[in-house]
Amino acid sequence: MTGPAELSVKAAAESVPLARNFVVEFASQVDWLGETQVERLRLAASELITNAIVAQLKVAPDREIVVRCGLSSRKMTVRVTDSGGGFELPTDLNIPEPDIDRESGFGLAIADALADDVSFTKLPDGIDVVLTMHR
Amino acid sequence: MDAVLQRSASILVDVYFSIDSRVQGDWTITDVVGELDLATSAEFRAAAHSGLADSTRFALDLSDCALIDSVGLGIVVGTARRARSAGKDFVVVVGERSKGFFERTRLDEILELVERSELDALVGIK
Repeated sequence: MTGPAELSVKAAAESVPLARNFVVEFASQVDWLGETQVERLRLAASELITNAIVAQLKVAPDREIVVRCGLSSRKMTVRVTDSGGGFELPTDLNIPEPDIDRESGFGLAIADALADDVSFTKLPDGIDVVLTMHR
Repeated sequence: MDAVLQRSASILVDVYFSIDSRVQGDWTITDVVGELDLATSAEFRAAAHSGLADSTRFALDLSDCALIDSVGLGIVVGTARRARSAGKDFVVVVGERSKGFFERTRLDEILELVERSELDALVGIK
């Protein structure tokens, strides 16, 4: 059984591949996760990490983003916690209609589509997002 | 065990990122290799904008991109909008893997996606 793992990264663009690879390395040790699931997890985690970093940069760029991976017999979770402040919890996670004038706003929808479950919790100073892949 | 080692190796390979532009006939083709995300977005956006500005027919070859997240997709859409405004041809070259990033978000419905062999035909390579 793989124990929980935690990584803190600075709120910066270059932290995205670092944090993403941390998640992928953890997932690669989970024997029941197939290659397709790891690929889905790779992009979904990337979207959540990016979202957290962008939110954090606006409010508290000096604070870190925390990524935690956990494993039980039935599921793997990735928890991304930021201190990005006044971000509202998303209400619509459907992939938006394709539109040549829309360049942003579909990252969380991609994460939700790829993971088995994505849940958001508002913290006093940020957002806690938990992505789950079920066995 | 073998599968784990294989995945670890692909992580190392995926860190590599490069952008190169070339001119073929009246096309400018910008080849991108690696992962398109927030970390590589500034370089990618600058290359896409200058590639389009320097040509009347522009191709972004993303067929060797191992990952294209929403930031990268947004830049491609923005490039398509600029091309349309300027009346320029714009195509996105995809491979089996990179195509999925566009299909998942249904952006294949509003972008002109082509395979590398189709690009070769467009630019006149036999």
